[in-house]
Amino acid sequence: MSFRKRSEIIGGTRIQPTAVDRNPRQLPLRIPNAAVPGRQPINIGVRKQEIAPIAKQDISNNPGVRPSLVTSQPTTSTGTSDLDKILLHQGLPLGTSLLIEESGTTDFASVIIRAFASQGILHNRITENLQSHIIVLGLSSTWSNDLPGIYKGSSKEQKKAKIAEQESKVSVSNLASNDLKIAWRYGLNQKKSEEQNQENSTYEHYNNQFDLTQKLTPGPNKADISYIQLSNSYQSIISQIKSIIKQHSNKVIRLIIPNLLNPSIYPPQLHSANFIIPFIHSLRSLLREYSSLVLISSISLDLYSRDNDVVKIFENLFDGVVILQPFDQEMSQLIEKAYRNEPSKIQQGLVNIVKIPILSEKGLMLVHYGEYAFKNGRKRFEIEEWGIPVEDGDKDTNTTQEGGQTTKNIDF
Amino acid sequence: MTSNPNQDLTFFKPNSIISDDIINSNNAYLSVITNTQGVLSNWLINSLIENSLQGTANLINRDLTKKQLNRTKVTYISFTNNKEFYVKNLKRNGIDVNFNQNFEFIDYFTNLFINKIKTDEDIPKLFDMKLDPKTVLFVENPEILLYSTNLSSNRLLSHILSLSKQCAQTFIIASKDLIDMENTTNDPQDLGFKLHDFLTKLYHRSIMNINLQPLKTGRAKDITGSLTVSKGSIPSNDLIEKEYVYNITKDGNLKIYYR
Repeated sequence: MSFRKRSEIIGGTRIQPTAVDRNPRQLPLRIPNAAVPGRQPINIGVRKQEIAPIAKQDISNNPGVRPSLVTSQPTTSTGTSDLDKILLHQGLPLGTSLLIEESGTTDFASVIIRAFASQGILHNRITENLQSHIIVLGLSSTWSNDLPGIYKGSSKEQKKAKIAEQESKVSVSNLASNDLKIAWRYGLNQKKSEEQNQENSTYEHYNNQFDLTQKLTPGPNKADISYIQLSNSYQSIISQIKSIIKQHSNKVIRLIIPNLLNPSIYPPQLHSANFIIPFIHSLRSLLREYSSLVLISSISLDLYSRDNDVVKIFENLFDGVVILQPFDQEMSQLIEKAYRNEPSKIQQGLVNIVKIPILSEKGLMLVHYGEYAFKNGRKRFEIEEWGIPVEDGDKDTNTTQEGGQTTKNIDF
Repeated sequence: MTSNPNQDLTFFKPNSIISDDIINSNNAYLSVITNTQGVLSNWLINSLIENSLQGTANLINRDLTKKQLNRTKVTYISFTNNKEFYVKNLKRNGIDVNFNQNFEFIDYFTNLFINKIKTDEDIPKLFDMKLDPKTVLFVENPEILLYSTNLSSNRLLSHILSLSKQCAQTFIIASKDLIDMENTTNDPQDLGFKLHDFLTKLYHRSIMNINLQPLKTGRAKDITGSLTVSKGSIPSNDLIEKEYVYNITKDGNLKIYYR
């Protein structure tokens, strides 16, 4: 005797549910389109389906895109998972922009920007179909030589991964140890954990961890990245960006503008408000026009302070603004002293949030000063909650003899 | 019987946001809404559009519940957002502006500097339009023209006043971030000075000025910012000058308190 689920309909041909017939209780014999005079079903769903652009559907299926945690809008990773977190959306929503301002002579912003580019290139390595394209403005192709490679873990983790890889290979011994479990209960438990894993792995290719000491291999090619040179006409720059976007439809386009208004890249005539403000305004317009486009840009606050009118206008026109504020020498010394036994905890500066895409425009007050700190390590660019470090006394005197005994007992 | 609003936003007596007297008046009134970084005024604009179109203001005044069909026309000119932005946001106020014939959106954002303004001579054409006398007009961030072209604050003001004269009520929405009172200059080419000059002249032609700003004590979890309603130079006995604080949550809920 076989058992059937209660909800399953017995008999009759099964009608495949479509976007039009949303009523799950509909019986198969009741044909919704049966011609009853004067009672024609309103096919709102059909109309919506026709209107919905195909490109948008494809973008949401892109492995580098997931719904925002806050607004459910399609979002892509910045390549720095901690930055994704503080942006609250778990990334940068498509069709929005982020400006990274940095004070001091350091260039931590470039670490974030390069990870942003590497992330796009890694999305292209998932399948044969290319999923994203990167546009870099104002720099030459040598810029992409230093893109960070994927973090493969510490030497211990790498060894473990090798063992796991060997175990996963099909062999008699592996089959015996994995699949020949007799107790069905184990199977049920396994099913639960599989479900959990499945949830976590829904967006498994969404973001990666980057090793700053490694180079991205294989490096980007022409299909991955395009370079646009600056010119005196912002209209021509915008039209070049537009034509690249059109060539790469259904891909996430990552537009990168590093070192905005840096005199080594931007000639004096491009510093004029009559050029740069219409240009940034046109970029904002482009972002709204092409929902597959995301923009990250950086600017040095030592060259253009936040009191500068142009920077304030940029902050108004960009959807998200984050400030990297490296610690001064005095603070750095204090932190180094406080964490002298734990060098991995040493932070390099503060991350101040000025604006968060979409949410700030809704009127939410999301300005956070001095609440987050960053540290740039080999493994990744980390952002964590900031607290002034407390200088401990001698740690050795605190460890009591009892503590030592407890450890021994646990080992035993 | 009129009820006293409890911790709700009210601009005019008796308990109204945009009063019937203003809409039905033969005069043209102008109001200025200024905001700063971190306390943008889109939630307020949405409620003002809702109030203009149908008389309600669900999120900011719980006593204004009576819907009035075809109350007035709304023309929205934006220099920083496209229509989709307002279509999406106004749905929360129960209005689908795609199907509202009284709502007209003039998009001066999309490709503004690519197609619409190629030279400074194109700017007057932007303001060359005819409006219905019973229109509530919104002009969002027109100051972008001061920053990106050679347009003077006086010229921009005259363009805006030419539109304002045609309709019952005009709201000018501008960002005040560029105004730095400590470092004021008198250089007419300075962007901060241009904005300061433009806003000051607007204040002298307005009936009501609304200013949104963050709390001076810093960020708070339960308060987003403060909103001040003050009189402009055009006298009005019905205007209620008051200061409020408000809180917006991530899911869009809004709570207003008297200060």
